[in-house]
Amino acid sequence: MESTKLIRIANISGRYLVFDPDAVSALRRQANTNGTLVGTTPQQPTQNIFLGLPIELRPEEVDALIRTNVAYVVDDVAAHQSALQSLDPDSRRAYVSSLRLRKQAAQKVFAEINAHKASITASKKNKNKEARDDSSAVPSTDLGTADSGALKPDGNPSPRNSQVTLLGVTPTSSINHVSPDAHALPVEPRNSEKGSLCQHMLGSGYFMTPGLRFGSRYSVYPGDPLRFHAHFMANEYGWEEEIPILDIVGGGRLATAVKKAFLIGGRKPSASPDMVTSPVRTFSIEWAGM
Amino acid sequence: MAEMQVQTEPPSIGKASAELQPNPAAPAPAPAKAQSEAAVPAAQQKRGPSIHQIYALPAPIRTFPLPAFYPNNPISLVHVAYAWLGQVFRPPPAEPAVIHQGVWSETTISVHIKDEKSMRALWEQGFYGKGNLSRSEPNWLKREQVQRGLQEVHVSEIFTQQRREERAQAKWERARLEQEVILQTRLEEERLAAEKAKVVPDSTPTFVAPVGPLELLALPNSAVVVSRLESILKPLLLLAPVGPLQLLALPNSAADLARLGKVNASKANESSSPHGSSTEDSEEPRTPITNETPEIFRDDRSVISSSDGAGNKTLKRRKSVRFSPTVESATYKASDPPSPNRSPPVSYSKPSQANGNGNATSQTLPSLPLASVPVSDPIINKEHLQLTPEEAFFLSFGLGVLEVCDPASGRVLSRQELFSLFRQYSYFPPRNGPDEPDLEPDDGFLVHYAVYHHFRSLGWVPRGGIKFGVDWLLYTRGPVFDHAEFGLIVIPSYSDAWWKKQGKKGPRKPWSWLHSVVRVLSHVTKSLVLIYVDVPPPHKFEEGLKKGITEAMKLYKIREVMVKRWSSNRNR
Repeated sequence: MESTKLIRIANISGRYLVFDPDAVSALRRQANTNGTLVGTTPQQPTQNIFLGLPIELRPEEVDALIRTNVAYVVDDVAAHQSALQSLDPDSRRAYVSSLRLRKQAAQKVFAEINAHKASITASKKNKNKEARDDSSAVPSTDLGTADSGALKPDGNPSPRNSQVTLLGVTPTSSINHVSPDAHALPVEPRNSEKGSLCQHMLGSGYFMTPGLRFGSRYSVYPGDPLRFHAHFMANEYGWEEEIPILDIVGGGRLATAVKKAFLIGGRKPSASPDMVTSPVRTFSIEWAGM
Repeated sequence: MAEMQVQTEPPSIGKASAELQPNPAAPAPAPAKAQSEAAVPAAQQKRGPSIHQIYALPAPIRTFPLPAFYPNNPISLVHVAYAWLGQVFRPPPAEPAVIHQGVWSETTISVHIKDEKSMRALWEQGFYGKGNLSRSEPNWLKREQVQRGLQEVHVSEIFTQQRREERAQAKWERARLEQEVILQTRLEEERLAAEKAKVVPDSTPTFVAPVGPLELLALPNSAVVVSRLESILKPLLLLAPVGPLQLLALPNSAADLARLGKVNASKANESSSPHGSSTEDSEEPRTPITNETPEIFRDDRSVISSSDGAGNKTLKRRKSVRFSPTVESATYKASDPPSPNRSPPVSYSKPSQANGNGNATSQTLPSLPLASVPVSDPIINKEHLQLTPEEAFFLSFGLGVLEVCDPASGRVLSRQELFSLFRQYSYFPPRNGPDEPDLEPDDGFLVHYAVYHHFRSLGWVPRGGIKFGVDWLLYTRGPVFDHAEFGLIVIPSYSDAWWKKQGKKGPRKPWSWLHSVVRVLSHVTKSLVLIYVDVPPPHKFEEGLKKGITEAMKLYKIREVMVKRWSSNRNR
């Protein structure tokens, strides 16, 4: 467990994303944060249970991670653009040539696939025609395969399993050129009391997932959500915020019906900024008449 | 879109009673027969009349329709003429014939009806109010009689209490069986361990596994306790964690792994464990606890109860498995300490209300003057009916059957006074002082009263819905006939141009709020209806109020939006 390495959180259009699988597992193991998987292919969106990397983190979680010095936030758009624009000529040339190489490789692979398909269909046709004792089409298909074979330059056909990376030609990818901590956003301590409950719960060893289906902000787990059921449904309130009694009744009732407790909490705003922050106060509510 | 209709002052025919009268244009007098019997508490007889007889009248006013005239039956004309003449020469008492008396109570922000006949009448004719010692119907007296064996009738509260006891018993039994299974496996493992220990001779002192229920309960609950114990006990022997309890006690995260260090499995020494920490269910999964936050876990399972909050902190009910040392006391009371031998004897300052004992409940209530009645005496009804401001104002302003007195002076409050009183008290703190801000047209009473009047006028029975986390529950006929089908949430809507210019917006609620409300209601098979009340701008409202309450209330518009889950499979 390398606890010294800070985790890079990319801030892209207001969302906090973590792309690195090692960072994700480190977050989960050490920082009680599991995030929400949001990755999918744009052309073929999958159902949400099949989503993959990256994970998205809530702003208050990110805030807590920064405060505990586990992670740092990078303005990924700015980092990307500056990395692409400030390349020196040599590396620029190398970058362009690498792109070209990859493009050629991709073309090669596509051509190979097409040829393979064509040969398969040709052999099928061949079989059919042979079955019908018609031999006139055979040379033409041979020609076709020969043509596609001619397109294929000499050399070994690339192995199949490397196709995935080969085909992923993203012309504007800057993944090799961005240094990991470039454009790290400054850590500004936020004065607002918002997110203090989340921070408090994370700090005391709880895991939290979004609690929308239980009608609250967080569902709070005593350990990893894969091991435990949630114990609480938590809502955060401001210190002076009026809490409608109907919300307490409804929340307590629903939480008890799903064998949890309704948890509300908040932090008293500190009078002066240099003072030690007052502790978060939490209350759990259960419906007794059930 | 439904416009609200406000009736004028002495309405001889309530809209809610429309189904009683086939001919609404004939409020002519007729012989008033068998009208007063509804006010008699009919349910006190052994075999009471059916609920359709008891709750026959939908509103606390009478109507006297003429008999129907059939053109093909000339005798019916005679019947009509006879009834009409009878009403002309012997007119029935002017409606409302009975005007009930209520007292405004500032502490509870409700109107109290103390007269027993009025209580029954308002409950049976339209389901107004709630008994202050009952769940809804004011039946404390009946309950008390049943509990003393004087009567044999069905009382819903007693029924509910029995059901809850049965359920608690079943849960207790289930938990006991689970514990037995755990005990079995422990014994088995212990046997295996003993066999192993025979092979490897050890010089450690005799290790007694915690097998009895009391020892199990005495196992440390949290890492805090463990660390405290660690200082007392020297680690005897490092055993591999094999039992379910030891496995569950393993640390969950790296943070408390460091703190726990080497936890010995043989910590269960009953004598050295501090009391009060061992009440939690011992099969609970262990969770990481830091030193700063033990109170979270203490709050975790405790029931928030007002009866024993301040005085005795040690007496906290927990959802825990209770082991009784003897077989005879297999049942337990709600007021018992969680595990009998572990809590110190607590002197009960008050009788616990959690047991649902009517005797105890009545004595703890300070608001009633007749508290010192010996048990052998005939029971005096200590209950009164509480009307919410909306109900009271509908009875007074909509139907004219209620007069509300000021408790201090005994003076009957006029409708205008009542109106402003209820409006003042819909704020918290109430805006009744001289330097308080002015009342606004969107105060809680006005908005809720518009909704209440709207649905009452359409023949529904709205009742307060706080127990389901909504503003109102809508019954088609009343709570004794059927369950409420809808839960209403009232939302003020500022759709007028004046409000828009002011930038006033309705309450902003998150999505999780809607999910919570819908899910609570769908658990009890009700549907959510959002009621948007269009609030008039203040100047229009003030103008209307000068002409009268009716004109002012006419400015409120009500829109209903039903929220329902649409499922493609079920709605084909």
